[in-house]
Amino acid sequence: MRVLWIFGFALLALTAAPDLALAAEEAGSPSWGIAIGAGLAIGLAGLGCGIGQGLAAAGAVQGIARNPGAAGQIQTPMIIGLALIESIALYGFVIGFMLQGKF
Amino acid sequence: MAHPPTIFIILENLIPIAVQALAACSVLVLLLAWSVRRGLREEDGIIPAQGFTLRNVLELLLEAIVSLMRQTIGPTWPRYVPLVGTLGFFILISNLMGLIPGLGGPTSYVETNLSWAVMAVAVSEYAAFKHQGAKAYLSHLAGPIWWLAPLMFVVEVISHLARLLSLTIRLTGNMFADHTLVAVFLSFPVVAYFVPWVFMGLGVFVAFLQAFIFSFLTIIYIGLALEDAH
Repeated sequence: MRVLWIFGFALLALTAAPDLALAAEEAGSPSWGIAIGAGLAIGLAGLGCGIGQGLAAAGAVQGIARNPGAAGQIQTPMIIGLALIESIALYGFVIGFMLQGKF
Repeated sequence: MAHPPTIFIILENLIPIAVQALAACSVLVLLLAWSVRRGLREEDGIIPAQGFTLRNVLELLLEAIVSLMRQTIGPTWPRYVPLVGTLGFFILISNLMGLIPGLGGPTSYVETNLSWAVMAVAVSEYAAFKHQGAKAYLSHLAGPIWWLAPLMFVVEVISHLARLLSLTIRLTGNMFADHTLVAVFLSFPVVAYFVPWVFMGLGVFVAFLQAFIFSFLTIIYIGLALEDAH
């Protein structure tokens, strides 16, 4: 068990070292806010979309569990709802993509 | 937005890429329509073809669309079948065309999607004006409380414009993200043999789904425009 902890920390230090070097370099660019904004755009959009689609799928699966005969009728609105919630994550992706080369 | 290179960049300076892709997709759709029409001419179209032919698949899809329209729009549904059917089939074929490496479908470019969304929203607004009358529709947009009318009117107009934007960005973003993902994974050395299969499969599913969602939302907007006659 202790070997696992030591191994984990060693791996973290090895992978974090180049990241620290990069971070020291990127803070020098004058529009670093755009870079953070682009990352946050898709990140937060993905967070909201994940929670929303999880709730939609959970509701659909509970409905099928209560009434297995209505599975076909529950599945179609679930797919439609998932696609509409997905589009909100896509708005964030489009903003992130548009900001991506601009810094 | 930077797209991966396609076969259309040969003539890029003469004709814009989106227009070339749209022309190629139109040729494909016309070829499909001509082959189905030729099959229809044989028995006058009443007897279905045998087995898994293109005509049977298209008739199945058309029947699904028509039953949805009959539920949502009501008795005037034959007037809108050309628009919804054309949008649905065209978007489906151009989405699938966009997944082929080297060929880009017109739905990956925002210009074609914007024009289709403008058409869909314009038809639903026109249907609302014609069915309810201009005065009734505008007073419906203004809401029930008279002193909130300026605010409600602005909010309703913006929400109708947001339908246009959301149709466009949903379709463009889904198609662009799919083929960009496949292109990005194809550029890595090791995972290029395994991972793009998964994203291609997801892309085919999303192609069907997005074509269905665009036409379904058009049907819903037309149904909403036609039903609110208080």
